[in-house]
Amino acid sequence: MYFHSIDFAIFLPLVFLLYWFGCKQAIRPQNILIVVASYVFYGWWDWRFLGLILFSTAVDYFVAQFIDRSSNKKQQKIWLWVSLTTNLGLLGVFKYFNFFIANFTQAFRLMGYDFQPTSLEIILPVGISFYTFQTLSYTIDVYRGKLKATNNWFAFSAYVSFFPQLVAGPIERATHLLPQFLNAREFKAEKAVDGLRQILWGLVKKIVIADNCAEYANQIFNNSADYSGSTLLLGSVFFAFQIYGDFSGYSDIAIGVSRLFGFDLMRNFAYPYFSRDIAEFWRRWHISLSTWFRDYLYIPLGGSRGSKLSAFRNTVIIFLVSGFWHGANWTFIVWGAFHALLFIPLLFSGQHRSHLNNPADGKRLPDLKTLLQMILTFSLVSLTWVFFRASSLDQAWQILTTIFSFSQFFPLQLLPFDLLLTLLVFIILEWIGRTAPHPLAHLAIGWPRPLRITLYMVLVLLLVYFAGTPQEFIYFQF
Amino acid sequence: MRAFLIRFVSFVLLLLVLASLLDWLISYRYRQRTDLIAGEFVVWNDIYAGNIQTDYVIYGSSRAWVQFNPAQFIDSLGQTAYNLGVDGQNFHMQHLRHLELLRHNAAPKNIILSLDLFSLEKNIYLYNETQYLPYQLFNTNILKYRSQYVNHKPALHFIPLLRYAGRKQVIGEAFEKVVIDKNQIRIKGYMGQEREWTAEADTVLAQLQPFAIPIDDGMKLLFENFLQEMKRKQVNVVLVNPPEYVGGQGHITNRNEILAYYAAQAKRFGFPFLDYSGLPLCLEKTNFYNSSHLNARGATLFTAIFLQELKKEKAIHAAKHPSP
Repeated sequence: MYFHSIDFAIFLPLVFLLYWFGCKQAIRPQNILIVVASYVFYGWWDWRFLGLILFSTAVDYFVAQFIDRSSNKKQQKIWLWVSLTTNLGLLGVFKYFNFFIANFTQAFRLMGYDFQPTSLEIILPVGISFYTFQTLSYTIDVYRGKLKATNNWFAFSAYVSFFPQLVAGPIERATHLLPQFLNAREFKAEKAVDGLRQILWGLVKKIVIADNCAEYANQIFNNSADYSGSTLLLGSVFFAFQIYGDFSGYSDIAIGVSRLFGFDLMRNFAYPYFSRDIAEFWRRWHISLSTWFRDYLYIPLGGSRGSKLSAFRNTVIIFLVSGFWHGANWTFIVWGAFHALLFIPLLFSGQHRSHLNNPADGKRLPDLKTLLQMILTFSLVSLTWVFFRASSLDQAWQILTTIFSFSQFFPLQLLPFDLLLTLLVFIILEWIGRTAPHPLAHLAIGWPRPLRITLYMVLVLLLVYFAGTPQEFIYFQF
Repeated sequence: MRAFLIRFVSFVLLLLVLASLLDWLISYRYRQRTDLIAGEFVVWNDIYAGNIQTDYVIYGSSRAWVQFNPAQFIDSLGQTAYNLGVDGQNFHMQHLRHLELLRHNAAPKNIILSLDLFSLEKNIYLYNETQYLPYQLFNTNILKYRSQYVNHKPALHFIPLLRYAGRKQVIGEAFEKVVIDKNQIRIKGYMGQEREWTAEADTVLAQLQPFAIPIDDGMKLLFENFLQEMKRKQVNVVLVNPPEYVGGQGHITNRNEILAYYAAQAKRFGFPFLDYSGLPLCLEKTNFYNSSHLNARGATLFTAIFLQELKKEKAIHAAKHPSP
């Protein structure tokens, strides 16, 4: 069930009313309802994979209890490995099996051994990378003693399958979200209203920005050999906005929906395209994933402590793994590698934490230096998206070589003025609202109510007018 | 919570009011574009305004609306006719037009049902589907008939403005300023095609490989039920296979089977079936603009021939059923 579907527009109010009025504000029935609703939500795509979520939930629920009960560190470690092997094993089979088989085959062929391995017709379960990481965070935190294992099955099931963020995050930590399922929720109108605003803004990002950019990005990337460098560059910019609108829009809707049910999810995007360097970009882009890797991979590896070599190694690992997390294709790994290359100089020069505040903090407009930094960072990010979007490394190479060829100076073969104007307005609105979790939390808040309502109406009507060809959320495939 | 719900419901209601107003405006404007979609809005507007009070109605696809000229009915029979042929639609959607006609107009007494070999073929995608947009809000007939095609959701019939979501072209056309050429408007549903047979039509014909048209059982049932109902209501139905260019008649391998089915059903319900695919005018490309459509010249010739036959049929019918 997509957030931007009629099905969801019916599903959400129904669950909302049942949750607040049908469950008598009792925790257990509310949690049971969330689990049922989440399974319906997920089963709408493919009910066959519900068993996988249930299995993953059961494994981590019991493993965490065994870890908690055991006072023997060795035993605890064995149980942790059971969880890691099971969860990463599922991910490996469903997401990476054919990739590894294909690459092993190729490697053996290069060594002179030719064989025909069996490749499986595996369907990737929607959101498997997200809920797998979420359950892992729970078991690891229990193992680390940061969290007591819960013996509340429904609360834990609700934590794993919570429908707003089940299929595309934000990837929540058990320390943050699980206690919310264990405690009573209180309805706060202000929070719910802000949730609705965030849903509206998320829909604008998805429907107006992402889906419309997708039409051009798809056209350009799917026929990249036919376009000049200038047009391909425009295509990479469109894709940059497509993926941002798509993914951050989804996160906004997920966070907004959760707020309607009294939950707070972590922030996932913080205006990443206003970043002044790559390090800042990674503090603002897919925050729940980058902090997950930081806490469960980078720091255990040693982080930036120790020698420069180990810091270099750890940084490369985390970026490569991050790339590989997105998909079983070399394009994602190279995408991660490029980001590592852009990040490492900042790390070694000690400048990776030089932009911790908001850009042009306290000012209306950025100064020239900030503006140039933002443009440069955005340009680099857009170029790396070429690897992310291309179907193969060959295609990415073809696109990048064309972009850096003389045809960069050719006139644009596509120039959708209405879309460029829409993007300009979107950037301005995001800039104005950059200090708030989402622009509508800032924009128009001080306005008289009729004006504010008019703005929301206009946004809804824009959704109707601009609704492009409905596109799937890109991150569902991850 | 109560205050929140009241505020939210008020917002939604306000939004619905605004959406309804915009829906009405877009639908109203779009319906005026009689130059689009083969002029279908002329016919739909007449149907919904209850303007079709004629002695004869002509049903069918494009082979109806470009080939039967209602003006000739007055001259020849002294009776009125309206051509309800709907471009590119099979019998399923022609039947929808029939139902809408019944809902807003007096029931017809005489129906000329123009058939073609594709009439009973089931389609997955609906051709020219935007013609239904201005009329489909809360219209259960359109909902029922459209829902048999892919990518169609019932909510589009009940939530104002939703069906226009993302249809920038439709909204643009609705508000586009155009001067519509009055000679290019369907009159009584008919518009003769001032076109000639071209080299392209020859190429298309030459490249056409033999094929069979799958006939859908559900469509056959609908067709037979329609004939049965007309019989029960004592409506005079004349089934017609209009002229086809002789050079294009051999490509459909189950052509004889389909025509035999029409003839059998006509006999079963006691209606005449007139097959004009063997007329001498079918030998001349000058009467056609492609192998299955007569041009204006051919249509005039054909309508005249058809009306002569209709007179005979009427005489036979009158002899069989003398008025008291």
